[in-house]
Amino acid sequence: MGKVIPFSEIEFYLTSIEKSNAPKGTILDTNVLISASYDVRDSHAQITEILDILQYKSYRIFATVNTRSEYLEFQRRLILTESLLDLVDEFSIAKLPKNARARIQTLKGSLKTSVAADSEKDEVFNESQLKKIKREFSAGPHSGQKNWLEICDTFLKGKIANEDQSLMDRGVEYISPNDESQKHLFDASLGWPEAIGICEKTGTAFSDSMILNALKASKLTFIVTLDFDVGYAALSDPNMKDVVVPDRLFKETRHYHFPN
Amino acid sequence: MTKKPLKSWKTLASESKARRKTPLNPEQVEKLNKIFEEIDKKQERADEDSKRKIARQPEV
Repeated sequence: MGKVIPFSEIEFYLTSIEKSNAPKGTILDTNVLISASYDVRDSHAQITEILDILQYKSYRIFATVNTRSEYLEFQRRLILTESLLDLVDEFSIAKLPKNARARIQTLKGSLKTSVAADSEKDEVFNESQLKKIKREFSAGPHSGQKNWLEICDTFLKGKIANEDQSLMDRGVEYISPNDESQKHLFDASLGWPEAIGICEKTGTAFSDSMILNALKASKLTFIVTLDFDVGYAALSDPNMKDVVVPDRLFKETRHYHFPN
Repeated sequence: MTKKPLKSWKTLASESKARRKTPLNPEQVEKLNKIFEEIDKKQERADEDSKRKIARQPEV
């Protein structure tokens, strides 16, 4: 059974595992990467501190392909949201089309309401809201989406690549048993049946099951997550490894007891 | 070859925010405004056409 380690004990934990022969490395959950890049989140300061400790102690930092895709997806929605909201700002010199302005204003209102009701929600349009806005930039039924392409060219071009590069500048590597330089990090194959098994056992989101599966297949000792479910899944699996979580989540997981 | 030193995680959010908050340059605004004006015109024309079509329909 894996152990759940609170952030406040990370340095003791790292000292304790350094005696083992396990490779010095960890896998990060998507939420960790998002919180590190977005200072609006409550966990931002805590998580950057943990990541700097890992970097200082020369730990390799890995993310799964799924995590990378989820991180870049968040950046896409964040960049588009802020760019579109800037266009409806009263000081903006952009003269938005009437219908698009009205649609963005309405959805801005819904977004503010939902964030006010749930402090954990990011002020970022969801996919359905972005699609509604995109439709307003079509000039008519036969005009296609060329105008939207111009908007993407202005607001997105090069920006998502920059966000991806930013992670690499901090040493994030994408974990893969097929990568020659990482072969020594794995002692089992990384297969779908195992990920499905984790998901079926604990009902954990499939993306989390894939991260846990990568951890299990690797020789790495622990992952860092902000997700209670990942800690729960680790505790419930006798063959799972360790999970490093914020102290608040650590306290929650102490309420759960699983047979060894 | 020397390895590039890794950047601190503490600067990730501020760097990312600075990139997002870079204002559009005048050429970009002008280009967008031209597109927006065109959309407005086409949408107004489409609205008028549909009103005219409705007006032309025989009363039942």
